[in-house]
Amino acid sequence: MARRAGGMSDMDGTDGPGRAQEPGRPAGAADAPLRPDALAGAVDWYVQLTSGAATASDRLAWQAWRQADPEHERAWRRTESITGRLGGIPAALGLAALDRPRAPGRRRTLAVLAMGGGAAALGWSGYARTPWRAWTADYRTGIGEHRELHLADGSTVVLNTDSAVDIAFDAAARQVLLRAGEILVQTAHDPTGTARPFSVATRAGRITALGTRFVVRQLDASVRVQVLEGAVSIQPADGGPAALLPAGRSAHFTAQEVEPAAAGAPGADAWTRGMLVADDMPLPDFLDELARYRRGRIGCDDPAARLRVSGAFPLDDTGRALALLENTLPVRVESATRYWISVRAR
Amino acid sequence: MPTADPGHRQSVHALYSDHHTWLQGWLRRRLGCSFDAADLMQDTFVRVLHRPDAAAIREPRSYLATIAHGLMVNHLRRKDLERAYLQALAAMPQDQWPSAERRAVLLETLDEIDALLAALPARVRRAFLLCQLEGLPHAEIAARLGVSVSSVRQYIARALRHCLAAA
Repeated sequence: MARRAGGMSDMDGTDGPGRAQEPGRPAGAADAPLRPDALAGAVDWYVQLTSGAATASDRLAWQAWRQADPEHERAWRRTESITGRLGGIPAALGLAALDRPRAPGRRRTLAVLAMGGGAAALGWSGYARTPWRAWTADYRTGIGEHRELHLADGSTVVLNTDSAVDIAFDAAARQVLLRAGEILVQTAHDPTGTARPFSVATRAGRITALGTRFVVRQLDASVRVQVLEGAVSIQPADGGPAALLPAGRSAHFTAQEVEPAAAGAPGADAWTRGMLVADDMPLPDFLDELARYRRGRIGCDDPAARLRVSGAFPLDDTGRALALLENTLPVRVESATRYWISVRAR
Repeated sequence: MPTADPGHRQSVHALYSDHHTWLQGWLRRRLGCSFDAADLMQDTFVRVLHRPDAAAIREPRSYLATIAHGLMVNHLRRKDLERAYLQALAAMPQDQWPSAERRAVLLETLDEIDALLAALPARVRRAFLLCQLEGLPHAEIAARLGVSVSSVRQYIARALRHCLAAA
């Protein structure tokens, strides 16, 4: 699972060589407050040993520090008792649970008070504060990258820019976990003949494929699905009614509900061919789309924000896409640096 | 826990019979759940039973509400933690799940650590967890948090200092 800091392995054993206990000199009671200088020393050593830059001589000096004073040793033991408790936790679970984003306790409690229903308020915030992280994902793409995964059952998953998925196939189910970004799924019949369901789990809920090709994108506050072939069923995470989405339709959903379906945008899967297809798209939306494929910021001024874009633009060369924009619209593309681009009306 | 003397016990008993219905209603309005409210009401009186100063309180309802509020904040934190934990489990392939017994122990450990880290700012907590759980070098933590390496060192030091002082 997780890599552990090299320096920490030394801390795991409590009876390693070189660990001199000063005999006959009792340290303070196990739970008495630590002497401030010993506490500060333990903190300094912990920081140094976990830095990723600790040397062998650091480790020798650390051992010497521990042996120099029983209170040092007691401070280090207490450090180990804390890190040891954390050490037994699988990293992915621990991060998801302990690093869940949260409002400050007082404010959150007030929010619960204000809303009256504590359960409902937490239900909502539980969704908004998803514990999922792209960090621990099985497969991921960087900005501007694509990646095509051929799964064991013959299905294909294509990752768009800046995306992350986990693949979890077992005897009962074929499951893809969308942790970030956007994927195109092309399902195949289950070769095992057991017809294990194929589904995409997102933080807002689950999409189950009914023999199909579809695109799923994780947005800030919702998930968008567009079905290209076949159909999918969408089950919001908090248990609202499931919805069936047929080919040619697109829908947003949250953990609470599936919003009404709309006609799917043309070219929803054009990115798999390296193209961004715009059909009368507001320029700010178009620039937001393009910005997903490159680092830095792309903005536009107010007059330009009223323009609309149609056409197919290359995603593998966003600079060229911006140059094309200058040819098709009355705009000028100005770049202060590679990472700061402004589109202005001419 | 100190053993409560009979007089103390009696005054807590009076406190209970005069105010427990009110306190349970107070909690229910805030939690939106009568089961949790009943549990926290009981917990509040258990705390009071162990406080020697309970007999001398002048404003029993505000005293009870103060204790109940602390328990409620902790209860909400715990529920929030459980939710995040269960979501993370659900996102894991089932064949990688820890055993049922291990899951229960894990949740208790997480709760302890969560309570310990609750007072820290999010960045401090995250830096410490990335260091300790993921074993990331400080430079990588700095890149993820978008801060300098020296800030990461300060965050990690602060988190550990906090834990060592509280432990």
